[in-house]
Amino acid sequence: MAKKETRQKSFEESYSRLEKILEKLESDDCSLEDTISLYEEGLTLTKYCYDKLNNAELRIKEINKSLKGELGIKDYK
Amino acid sequence: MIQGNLPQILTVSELNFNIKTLVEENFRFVHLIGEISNFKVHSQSGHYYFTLKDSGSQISAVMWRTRNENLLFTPEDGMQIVVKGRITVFPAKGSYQIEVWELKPQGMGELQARFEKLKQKLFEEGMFDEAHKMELPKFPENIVLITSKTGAVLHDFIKICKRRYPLLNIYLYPVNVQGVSASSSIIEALRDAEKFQKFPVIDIIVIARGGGSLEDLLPFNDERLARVIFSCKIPIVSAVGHEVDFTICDFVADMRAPTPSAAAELITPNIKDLIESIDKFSYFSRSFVQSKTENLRNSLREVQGSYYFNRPKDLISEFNMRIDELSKGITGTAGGRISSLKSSVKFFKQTLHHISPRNNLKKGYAIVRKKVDMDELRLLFEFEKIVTRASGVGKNEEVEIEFHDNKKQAKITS
Repeated sequence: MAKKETRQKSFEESYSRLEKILEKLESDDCSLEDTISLYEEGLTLTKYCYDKLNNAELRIKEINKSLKGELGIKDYK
Repeated sequence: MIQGNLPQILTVSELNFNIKTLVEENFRFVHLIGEISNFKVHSQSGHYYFTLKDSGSQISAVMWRTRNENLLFTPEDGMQIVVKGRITVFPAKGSYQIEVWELKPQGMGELQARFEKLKQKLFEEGMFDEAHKMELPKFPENIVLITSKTGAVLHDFIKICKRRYPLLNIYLYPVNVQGVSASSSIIEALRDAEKFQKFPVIDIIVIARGGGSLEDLLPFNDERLARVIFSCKIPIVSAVGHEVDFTICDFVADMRAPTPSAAAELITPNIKDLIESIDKFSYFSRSFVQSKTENLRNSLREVQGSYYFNRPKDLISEFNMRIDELSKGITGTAGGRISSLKSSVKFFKQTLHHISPRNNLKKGYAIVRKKVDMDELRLLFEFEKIVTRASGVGKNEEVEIEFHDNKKQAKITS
C-alpha cells in the first residue's frame, strides 16, 4: 500500500508536468534522446490524468464537533 | 341625567384594570417609530429594556429574550428603529409599555451607515489590500465548505463541483448562517478549519450563504469575523448573498464570488477543459516528435548529399573519366600514327617500285655488267660491276646484259 502511495502523484503535479513537457518539446534545444524520453513520460502521464479524471468521484464528508470540542469527520448524508 | 344616582367610585385597581382592558384591546398590534435610549440588557434574564422616544414624548419598551434571540444586531442608544408589538399595562404601577416583538433599524439607512463606517475603517487598516490576498490553488484537492446544512446552497454547490471537478474532496462544516449566533459560529468554523489542517491539507475554505436582505447578511458584516478571515492562513472564498450583495466578508476574503454557485465554478477547473487540453497535449507532443524526427532525417539526408561527403565518390568518378579520356586519346593517336605510317610505307613502296631498275628493265632498259679483276679492287674475288658509260668497256671485252626476263652474255665488237 505504502509503495503505491509514494508512486501516486497528485493530479496537479502530473498536469503541470505535462505542461512543462510540452514546453520543453516545443523548444529547439531538445535533443532527440530527450525528445523521445519526454514523449514517453508524457504518454504515461496523459494516461494517468485520463484515468484520474474519468474515475474520479466527488467525496463529501461532514465535520462535526463533539461536546468536548473534538473535531471529527463522518460521511455526509 | 343620572340624577339621583351616586357617582360610581372605582378603586385604583379597578381603574387600572379597566384601562388595561381598554388599552390592550385597542393596541394589540402597534407599529412604532422612535429613537432608542437607556438601552439595557438584563444580565440574568437576557431581556432588553429601553425607552423609545421622539422629540416630544417617550414610552418604555421591553423585548423578551425569546424574541431578541433572533435579532440580527444588538440595538444601541441613539439608533432610530421601527418596532412591532403591543401595548401592555402594568396595573400594579399604573404604567404602560410597549412589548416589542420585532425590531428593525429605521429604513436601512442606519445599518447601511454602520456598514459603510466599518468598511471604511477596515479599508484604512489595509485589510482589503490586494497584497494580502492569497492565490487559490489551480487544482484544489480538499476544501472546507462553511455553510448551512439546509437549503439550496449546499445542494447547488455540490452539484457544480461534481460536474466540473469530481477529483475534489469537500469537507462540509455546517453552521448557522442567520441570526445573532451566525457570525460566532462561522468564526468557530474558520478556527476549526485551520486546526483541521492536521488531517488532510485544506486548499480552500468557502464561506457560502444564499441571498438576503442587508439584515439577513448582517452576520457577514461582523468586524470580529472580518479579522478572523484576514488572519486565516488558508485562502478563503466568500460567497455570501447574491450578485449585488456585498459584505465585509467579501471584501476581506481572498476572493469574492457573486453567488455560492459561482464560487463552486471559480475554485474548480472544468474537467472538460482538462480533458481537452490533455487531448491537445497528446496531439501536439506526437506531432512535435514526428516533426523532430522528420527534421533530423532530412538534415541527415542533407549531410549525406553534401559536397564533402560525396568528394571521394566524385574523385573516383573524376579519375574514371580521366582514364576514359586518356585511353581514348591513346587509341586515337596511336591508331593515327600507325595508319599514317602504313600509308607512307605504301607510298614509299610504290615509289620504290616505280623507280626500281628491275621495273625499268621491263620498259626496255638493260643493265650491262662486266667482270672486274680482283686486282683492280685488291680483293680476292670476282666482282661484277655495272657499266655505266661506253668508255667503261673495251673491244672484245665480255659483258653480261640483264634484261627483265633473263641475262645474256655478249661481246663488245667495237
